[in-house]
Amino acid sequence: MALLEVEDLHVTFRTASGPVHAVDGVSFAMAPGASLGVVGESGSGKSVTARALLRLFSITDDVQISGAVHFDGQDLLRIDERRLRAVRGGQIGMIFQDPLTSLNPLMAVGEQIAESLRLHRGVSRSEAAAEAVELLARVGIADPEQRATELPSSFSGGMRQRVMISLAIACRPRMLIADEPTTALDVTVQAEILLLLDELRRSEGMALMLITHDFGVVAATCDDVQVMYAGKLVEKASMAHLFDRANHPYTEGLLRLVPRFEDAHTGRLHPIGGQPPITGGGGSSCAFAPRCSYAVDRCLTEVPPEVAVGPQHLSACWLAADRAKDATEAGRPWRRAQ
Amino acid sequence: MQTTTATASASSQGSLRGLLLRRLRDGVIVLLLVVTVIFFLAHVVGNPALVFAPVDADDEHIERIHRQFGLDRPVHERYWEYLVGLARLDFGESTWQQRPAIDAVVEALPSTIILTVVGIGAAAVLGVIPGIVAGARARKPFDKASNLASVTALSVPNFWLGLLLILMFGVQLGWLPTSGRFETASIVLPAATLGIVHGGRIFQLVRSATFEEMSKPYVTVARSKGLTEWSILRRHVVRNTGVTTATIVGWEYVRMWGGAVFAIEYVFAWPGIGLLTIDAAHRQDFFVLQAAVIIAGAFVIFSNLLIDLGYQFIDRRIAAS
Amino acid sequence: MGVAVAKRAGAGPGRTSQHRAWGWFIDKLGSRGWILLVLFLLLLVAASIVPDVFAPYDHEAQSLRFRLLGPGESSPEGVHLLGTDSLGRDLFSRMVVGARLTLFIAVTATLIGAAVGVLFGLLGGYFGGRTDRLLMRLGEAQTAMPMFLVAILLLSLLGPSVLILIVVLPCLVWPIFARVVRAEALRLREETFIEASVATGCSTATILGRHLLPNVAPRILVLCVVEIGHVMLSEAGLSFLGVGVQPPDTTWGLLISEGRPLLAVAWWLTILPGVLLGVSVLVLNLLGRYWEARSGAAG
Repeated sequence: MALLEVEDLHVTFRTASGPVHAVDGVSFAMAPGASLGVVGESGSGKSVTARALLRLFSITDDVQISGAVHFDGQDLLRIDERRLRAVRGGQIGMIFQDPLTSLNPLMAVGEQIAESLRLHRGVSRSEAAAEAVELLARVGIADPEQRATELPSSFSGGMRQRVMISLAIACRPRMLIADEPTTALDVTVQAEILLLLDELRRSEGMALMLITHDFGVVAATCDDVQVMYAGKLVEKASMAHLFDRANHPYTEGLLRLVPRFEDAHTGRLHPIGGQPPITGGGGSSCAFAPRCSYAVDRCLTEVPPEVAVGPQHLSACWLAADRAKDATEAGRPWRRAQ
Repeated sequence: MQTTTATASASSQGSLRGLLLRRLRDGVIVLLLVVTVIFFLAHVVGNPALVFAPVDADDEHIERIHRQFGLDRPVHERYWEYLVGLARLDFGESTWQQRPAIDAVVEALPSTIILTVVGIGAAAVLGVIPGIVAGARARKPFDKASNLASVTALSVPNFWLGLLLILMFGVQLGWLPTSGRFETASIVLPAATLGIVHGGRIFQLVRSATFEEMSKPYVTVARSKGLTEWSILRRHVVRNTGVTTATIVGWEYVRMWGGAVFAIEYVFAWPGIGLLTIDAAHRQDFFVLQAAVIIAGAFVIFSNLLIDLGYQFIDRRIAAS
Repeated sequence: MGVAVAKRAGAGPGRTSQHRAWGWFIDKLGSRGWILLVLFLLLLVAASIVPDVFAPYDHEAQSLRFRLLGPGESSPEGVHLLGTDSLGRDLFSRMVVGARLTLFIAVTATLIGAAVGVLFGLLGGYFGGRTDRLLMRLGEAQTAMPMFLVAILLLSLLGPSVLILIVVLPCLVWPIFARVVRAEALRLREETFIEASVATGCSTATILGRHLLPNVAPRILVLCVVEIGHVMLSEAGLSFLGVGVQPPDTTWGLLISEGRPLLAVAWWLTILPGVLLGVSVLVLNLLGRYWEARSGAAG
């Protein structure tokens, strides 16, 4: 029984310059305690997907969401605000990209954590304060009693992200969504945060959905991975499987972006040429076709469906079957292509 | 919007003490500039004896004034005397009331202070709370309606608004007194007029401050914690816009002294510094006019300075803690 | 599949006019609504150029028998749309005639203020250093001092007249222009094409005139439109207080002032000119902000 089941999710922003289909028919599921990485360039719709699950949009956004998000027996897109608020923070915790602006600058961090506890668990003010201190200690903040009374401005970026994590897991949610949790941090701090997330997921039995543009981050933390491009899922597989048999040309391109040891002496990086489209959806072609070096005529006239290319492995590409066969014969296609 | 840029540019510029001294110096320079311009217009461009004389003065009277003020002496001597006089708060004699001009101004001040304080209270009530609600629920019906009201309040002349209120509540309904300061209820209409006009500006500034705050990431985080929009507003947003809001109200209070209160006092015959000024202008009572404008001007300059410093002080304490 | 609408708050993310109080009105205007505003302004301008075409009666024709007629009442000459004043003069005709001086003072004073502000802003922004500090200090000084009060003092000192008004009113607006132009000039100064002009040996004046000015022109125009409205309000205030325009000249502010003693018996004399003034200022505000939003020039 899946914990989260997303069915045909569409998210459309209405802007002055016309509608933008940020998410265009995405479906996936997560089991309790699973870890799923969602990878894509900025603008691929991965963050919007995460926000749509909890209907978390800014007051300026004019958003239309359709599809279904089944979580624990209810459809998060259809329940009323009141029940949705109980899920937010209570059942699903969320971590955001920029720890510098994600905390209220004028509220002591302990209070910001306690706020969530009091809201969802109805504990007293002093109990909540005590538990907030424990949570800060849990995410590795030294001298938590003192730190709980301080404002976010006295914390470093990495420490703030730890505070954010403690805030998100405060009510022992069944699922944690982390939206680019390490992007704004130093490389050394990134690894610590990822380790912490992985450790918390295992010990608390939470499901973790990790959104990132960096395959390296997913590799370190997630069992499953799905790749998004222009609002669509283009490939999903287990992490191990994907690394060996990436099928979609876009995934192949992304994997080449991860700097590898073999390239260290040549100093070469392998960028994907061109820019991702600003609006996805509504097209009658594969959105990646203009940037794809394998593209054939069909890619420009028909949208490719998701096809199974292996156990638990889907790819949305007209060449998927051929590429899967090649891969079985020759091993890692992205490596061979170099 | 002007206010926020002013604040931003003023911050991060040396110590508070240095800022205070610099602003004080600037304030004094501005005042000196203004009184110098006044002096030159009165003494050099025009005939000072004519300026100082009451409306009904005959030639002999003007001749007497000429001798009395020693207007034959060189300009620089008179200028120096003038400055020394101002420093001693000697603004000359009222030709209408036959007493020192400063006395007339001091007598009128309490009335103006009462009116402006009640007026800014009304403006804060009309501007701050609707501004917060409208900013938090942008583009909802309440936002649109209150926006329309504030935009209208800012486009009509303030004195005309006062006359409209007189017509409605004084003439037609007969509920409220429309002129003078003879009973407690006399303050209602002038204060309401000031409240509407300045409330309109406060509303717009508070609304946009709230709106901006609501768009910040930490608000989304608060939402992801499951807080209601109301508690996000109450516990998070208002806490962060509080200092800005207080500054906006402070600025708006000072602004009243630089314009609206003069016209409104005149409309409602409220016996404050505004009515005094306009009456003095009509009677060509130069010294009272000059005293009132300089004192109100000095009040505006130095109050703005205090508000800016207060804002800096709090802002730095927040940044430091 | 049903549709869940999470938020219907704005027209889209990241629009510049969004958080502005005027944003909604600008959206309401749509892409064609502003033509109505321009049309209204054109009517005003036309009325001030050829008032006889618009005024149904001679604005100076008195008639003691038919004084203080209410809006819509008739004298033997015909219907008085907005009534008559205490001398039996047709209010509508007087408002039409008053448009000329009202607009003339507001436009002239704003243009002078804009010219001074643009000049100071360009000089300060371009040269920087001491010139810049001096000019900006002057602007700050002006903004710090309540100029409306100084205007009252100056006008009663020099004797109220249209000429003095046109000299005094620009003092209220020039610092706004100077600030905007200076900021833009500072920004442009850093850009390469100015450096290129210097490198190719253009004189400073050429650089200022040819390159900086065209770049700031759209913003100045927008500011002018908005500030004309503000100057109209200031002029009306000064005229209302008796230190501005003097009879027999007439502006809308003066009409309000003249109607005031008769408020209880003839409300239209006070209220209607104020409505016209308010609507005009509103239209100018809307138009200015509409253009600002359209051109993406954030303020």
